[in-house]
Amino acid sequence: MPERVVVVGHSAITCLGRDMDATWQGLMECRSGLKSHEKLSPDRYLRDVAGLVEGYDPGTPTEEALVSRLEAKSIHMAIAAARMALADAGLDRIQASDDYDPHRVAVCVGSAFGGQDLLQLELDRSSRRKTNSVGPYLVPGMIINQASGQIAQHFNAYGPSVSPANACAAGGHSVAMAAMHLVAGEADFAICGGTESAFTPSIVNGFATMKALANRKEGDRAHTDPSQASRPFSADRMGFVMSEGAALLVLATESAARKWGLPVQAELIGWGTNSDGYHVTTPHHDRIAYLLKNTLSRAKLSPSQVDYYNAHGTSTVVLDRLETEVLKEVLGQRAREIPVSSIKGAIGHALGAASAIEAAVCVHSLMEQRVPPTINHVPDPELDLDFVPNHSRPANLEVVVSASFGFGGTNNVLIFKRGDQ
Amino acid sequence: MNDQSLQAELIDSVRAIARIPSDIAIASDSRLVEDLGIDSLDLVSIVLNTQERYGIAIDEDEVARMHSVADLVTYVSRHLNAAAA
Repeated sequence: MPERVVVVGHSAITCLGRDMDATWQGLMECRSGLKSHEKLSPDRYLRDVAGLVEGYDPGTPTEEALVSRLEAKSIHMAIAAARMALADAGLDRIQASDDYDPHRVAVCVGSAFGGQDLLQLELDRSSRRKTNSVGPYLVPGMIINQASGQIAQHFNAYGPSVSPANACAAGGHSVAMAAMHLVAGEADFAICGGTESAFTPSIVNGFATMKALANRKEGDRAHTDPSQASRPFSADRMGFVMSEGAALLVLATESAARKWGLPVQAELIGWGTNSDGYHVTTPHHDRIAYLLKNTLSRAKLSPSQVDYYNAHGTSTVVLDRLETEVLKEVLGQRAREIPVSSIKGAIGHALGAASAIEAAVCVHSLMEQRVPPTINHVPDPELDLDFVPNHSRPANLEVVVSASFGFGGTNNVLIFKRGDQ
Repeated sequence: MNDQSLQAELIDSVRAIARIPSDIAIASDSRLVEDLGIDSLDLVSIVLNTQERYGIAIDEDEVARMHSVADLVTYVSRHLNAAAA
């Protein structure tokens, strides 16, 4: 009988707040963390609306001193998120115990872009030098696995480590990989999730020119109120809004959690990943439906047991429609009975961190027995599910499902069950 | 700029870049690696910062020959004087 995998701690850093509580409070109050930013000036950026995290900026007093040489914001946020998640789990208290084995702690932190912000910074610096040299911390700060590496270094985690770079599904993939390490008997604990800060002109403008990002056209409601630019499942949705952030879960085998007396916040009862094998960016209905069906089946769940679906819901025309159709196909009537919401209306799309943030929110939803809303929602007659429009609400939650899909045709589904907290 | 103020500036930047605590004294004859414990990556960061700040080019091979603060000061001073001449 394989070990059960439980969540003993979680954290999130988003444009709504510097920690999980502030993020949750913002979601419950239906606030948006998205606005127009002067930093995204029109002479370099094609979009100025974004969800930027206040603080954790390298080279400023808000940076994480432990990693000050590595000027990639994703690493700074990952360190802060790790500290908060470990404290939430109480793991920081037991690390000094004689029979606590750091070789049994895995780290799996993913990102879509890693330290691309540092690359931009170094290119700007290099252009001012008389040689072609770049800073010696560019390469170690840019590689996607450095967030995992720094967490391992500063929080004494010497077990297995992987850092999925699966685009906008990276964080969820990391959680799935961590769970696999636990059930394989390779670790007792895993620090897992995602981190992202990719605000460089090339990346923002690249998303904009491929028509993935929302735009503030005259006459549109976001023209005067940028906080309404992200509007998942709405009739007038027109693309996602880029944001940044980080979120980590601390997973444990059930026996490790019991041994150390750690509270079980939720149980991770299902996880799955697959590939579309179809297109560079366009998602594939059948593949996503297969994954959702298969992950439910492997968790021995019927659609009637799902109480909430936390959507990828990016606010793009194609994906929101596809996800709605997949839900109707796989869950049948149950799709119309349960709340389905996307927090990207409030916090935008944090790319490789998004699915980790959503996983943390799912854990929090189970603990609080409340579901976050889809804000800025205006009904679309074609999309006829209960999207929890514009108001959070209490709910009886035993099982919640979160799904994420990334460019390159990569998908994941995570299923959480209520814990004993 | 005289060598003394140049040395003071360079000591400040060595301290900042290599995160050397204020209770550790840095003098002209302080050896960068042996006395101050600066690793190879921070050493390159110091050299790059110096290039940028003083508008000079430093040959990568020269870095290996900079053992002390005085070596760094001498190198920068020589290049600044050459540029001014």
